[in-house]
Amino acid sequence: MINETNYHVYLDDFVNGLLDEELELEFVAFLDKHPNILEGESLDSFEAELPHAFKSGLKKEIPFKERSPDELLVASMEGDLTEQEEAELAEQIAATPSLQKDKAIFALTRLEADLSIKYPYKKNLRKRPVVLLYTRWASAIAAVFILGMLLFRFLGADQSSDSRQARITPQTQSPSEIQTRVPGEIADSREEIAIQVAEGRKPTYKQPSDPQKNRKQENPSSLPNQTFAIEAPDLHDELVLVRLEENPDMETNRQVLASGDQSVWQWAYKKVRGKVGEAEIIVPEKEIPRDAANLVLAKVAPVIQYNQDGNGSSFRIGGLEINRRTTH
Amino acid sequence: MNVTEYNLCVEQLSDRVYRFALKSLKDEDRSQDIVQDCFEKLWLKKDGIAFEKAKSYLFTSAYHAMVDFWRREKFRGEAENLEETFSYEPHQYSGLKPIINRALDKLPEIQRTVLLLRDYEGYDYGEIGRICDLNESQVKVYIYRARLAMKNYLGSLKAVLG
Repeated sequence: MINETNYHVYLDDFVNGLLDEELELEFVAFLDKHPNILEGESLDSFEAELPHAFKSGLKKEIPFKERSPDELLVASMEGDLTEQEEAELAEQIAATPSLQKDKAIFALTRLEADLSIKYPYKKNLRKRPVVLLYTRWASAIAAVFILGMLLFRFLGADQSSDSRQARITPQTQSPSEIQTRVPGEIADSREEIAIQVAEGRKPTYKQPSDPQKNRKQENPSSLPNQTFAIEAPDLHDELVLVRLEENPDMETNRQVLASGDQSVWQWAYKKVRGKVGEAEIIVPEKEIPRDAANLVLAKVAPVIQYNQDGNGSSFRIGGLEINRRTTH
Repeated sequence: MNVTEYNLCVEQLSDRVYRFALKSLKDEDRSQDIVQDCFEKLWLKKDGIAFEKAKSYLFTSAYHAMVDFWRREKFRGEAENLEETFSYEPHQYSGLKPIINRALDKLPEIQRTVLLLRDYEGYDYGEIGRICDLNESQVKVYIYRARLAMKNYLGSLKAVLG
């Protein structure tokens, strides 16, 4: 029973609409009997707003039949009606011509984007992948490097022309020799072949050395475990392991293929590109010019990873790895 | 989000953000500026934004930029009196699309925005609410009011045009 002494208990809930129906009616009846009882009562504290989620939880769905036709038509457009409500609305529409007209007009309010409107400066928004910037830098470095190599070779060839004949004799080179040899000596090797061909003799190619033998003669610690090489080891008539990664660096591949040279790399790439994986193959001499690998390596020297350890020597260009075994 | 994904966003979303801004602002230059600003922000924050969230981020940024624009320029106030629409000259009638566009232009910004996000982008109430900082009920009410205002406008015109 709400009376003058306990009405405060119910006041808060009444203002916030939290009394159940019976108590609310009782409270209203109490206020009717005591119209002045709230005079001087501070209601400031009741102005605080309840969180929306709380209010939403208290709200009840307006019954279908109490909703206006416009509300129902929009709700239908938005897919907010249940199947049963849709069916009831369809019955109402069928029976009411004005609703059919309203439905048709509401349908016009569904907006369609004008796809002919395009943002005109899309090109300016695009960003260049970092890898391309790197490639550009790599290309620039490679170009400078190649230029330097060519100048060095020409100068080296001129300076050593007098003593060239003395060094024509074919020699066997070990991987460690190749790695430590100065680039200028490559010209001598090509000169040798050119002179032999010019004289009508069969070119004498250097034969691969026995790495085991060489290792005995050298201090193993002097072999670098990983470095960048200017030259590749001779690979003809060698057993090599060729491995192509599943997702090779295509930019490097294109760069090498664009060089147009016959090379070990190109040859090996063609051999294995059909089946990603690895294959042990003999590199036939006739398929690979002796110094082709050196040529292509010079072109892409900045991106070649050359490795030499106790198991043999290998080099990697992009996703392709060519590995020469020590024993075969 | 990486660079490739960012560029994919440019391909797939720049036109849509532009259309959204242009329809809302009716100002090509300002709409283009907004698109550029939004993508610049996306680029700067790309490391912290997943590719799947980029669309929502772009539309939210665009909406905030539009609100700033409206506030600054007082581009449009409350809903204009629809009586004005009756001054529309029947001889200018050249299909429904311009009339629908005009009805859309008459809506208050927030109603127009939620309707564009709903119809152009197919966002649900919750997503529109997150973009426009509204709750779902408010979004629902704004969409209802927008469609009703457009329906009344189009219905009146239809009566005038016969």
